[in-house]
Amino acid sequence: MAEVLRIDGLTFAYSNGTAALADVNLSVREGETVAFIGANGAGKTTLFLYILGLLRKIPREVTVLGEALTSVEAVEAVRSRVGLVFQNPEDQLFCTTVFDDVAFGPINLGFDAETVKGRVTQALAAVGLEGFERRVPHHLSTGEQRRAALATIYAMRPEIMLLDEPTSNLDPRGKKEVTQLLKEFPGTKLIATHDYELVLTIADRVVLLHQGRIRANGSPEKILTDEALLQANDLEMPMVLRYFLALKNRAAAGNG
Amino acid sequence: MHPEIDRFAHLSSPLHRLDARAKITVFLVFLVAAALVRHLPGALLALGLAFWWVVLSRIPLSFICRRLKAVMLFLSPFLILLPLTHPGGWEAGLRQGGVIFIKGLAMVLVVFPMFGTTPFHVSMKALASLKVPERLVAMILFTYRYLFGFAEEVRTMQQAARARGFKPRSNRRTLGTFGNLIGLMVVRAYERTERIYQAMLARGFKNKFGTLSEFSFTWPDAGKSLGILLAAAVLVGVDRLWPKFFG
Repeated sequence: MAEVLRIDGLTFAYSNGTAALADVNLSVREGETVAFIGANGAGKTTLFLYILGLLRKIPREVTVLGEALTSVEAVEAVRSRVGLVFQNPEDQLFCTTVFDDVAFGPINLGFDAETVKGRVTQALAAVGLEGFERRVPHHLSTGEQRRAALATIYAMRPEIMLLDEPTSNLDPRGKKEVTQLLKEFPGTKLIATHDYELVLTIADRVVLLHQGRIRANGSPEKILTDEALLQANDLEMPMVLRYFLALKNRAAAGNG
Repeated sequence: MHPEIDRFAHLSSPLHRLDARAKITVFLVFLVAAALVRHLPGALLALGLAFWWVVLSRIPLSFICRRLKAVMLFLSPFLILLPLTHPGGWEAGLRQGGVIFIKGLAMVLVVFPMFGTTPFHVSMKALASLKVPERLVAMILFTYRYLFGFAEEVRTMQQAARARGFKPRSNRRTLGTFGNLIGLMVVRAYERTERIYQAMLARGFKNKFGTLSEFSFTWPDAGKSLGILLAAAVLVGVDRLWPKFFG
């Protein structure tokens, strides 16, 4: 599998001096689903915004789809191939109708009216929001808003999707629906999340961030069952895994 | 509750079916004509025409009346103050106050068939296609889009303050609390603006708004537009000729 994202020695601090990312090195391969976990303020959102050149005009440390982001033109070009779904759908859905919101990206990509309409219809169908075209985004439920936000990116058909907390503030049913949608979306996915169930369901790999640094990078099973590692980075092991491991240990002790 | 002006844009009426660009243009001409009215008969005619278009638009009168309360409150001082202060005496003052009140009411009434019979985003697209600067259209659109969101945030913050025992009084502490509230709103609005702009950039926005134009100007549109323009012309004519024949 080809490498689609590479970050070399990224260090970033906000203008007020807050250090956000420190010496981040990362490589993501085509088709991979990578989950970024970490306590609040670990740098997950900052990393996503940085990749798309939304924090620094030219993110020189980033190479996307073989293109080093060393010019404004390269950054702008990459935004049509990498989609970012924001944590709060209210920030993502800024138009007065769902149709306009989903059409916003394809129009910016320069497609003609017919193609835009086709893409909007297809994207809304993919997220189960057929018939929502004329609805007002801020009147939708949180789950519907989340799906509409996904549709805004899906309509652009990005090769890489960056998803910031895609299941936060959703009820169990909403979480299940969004998880299923993400599973079905093609392409490479980078997901910043606190939802371990989502990680265990769809992630191929987990990157643990703490205070802007990558502290661990490996399989979900390996990282999420390492209680010492999680605790050292202000995280907790998922309850289900804790019970599972306890049962496993008890069984092993019984056999022994 | 969201007090959107386009809540009844889904209804069907001759005005709903009128091309949005034509609707905005001809009603704007009528608004200018109404603004130029100087005599009571002209003002009454403007009010009559505005009321007729409201009825034609099928927008429920209860919806309009609720929104007219604030307008009445704003216009009523003219009716009260002008009779007391007009140099030509109370009668002239009352007449002038009446003209301002009635034509003001007529102009606000016209806004309902003008913007209430088309979805707001389509009206904005129409403005853009009428060569109104894109940035201005975008500003109107965003203001409209987030006005309700911010109103809700204010309400939530007020509830949070009340839940902690805050009762608005005429004192310094209340003023300070409201000052903090407004300040916080400005900061929140600024932060949200930044996030929205980032979301726009992430979706390929390059400081230029694209639209999918869907307008078509038909013969019935031409007929309706001509009717409204004719009404505006009659209004100006009546207002100008009235003093000559009956003054």
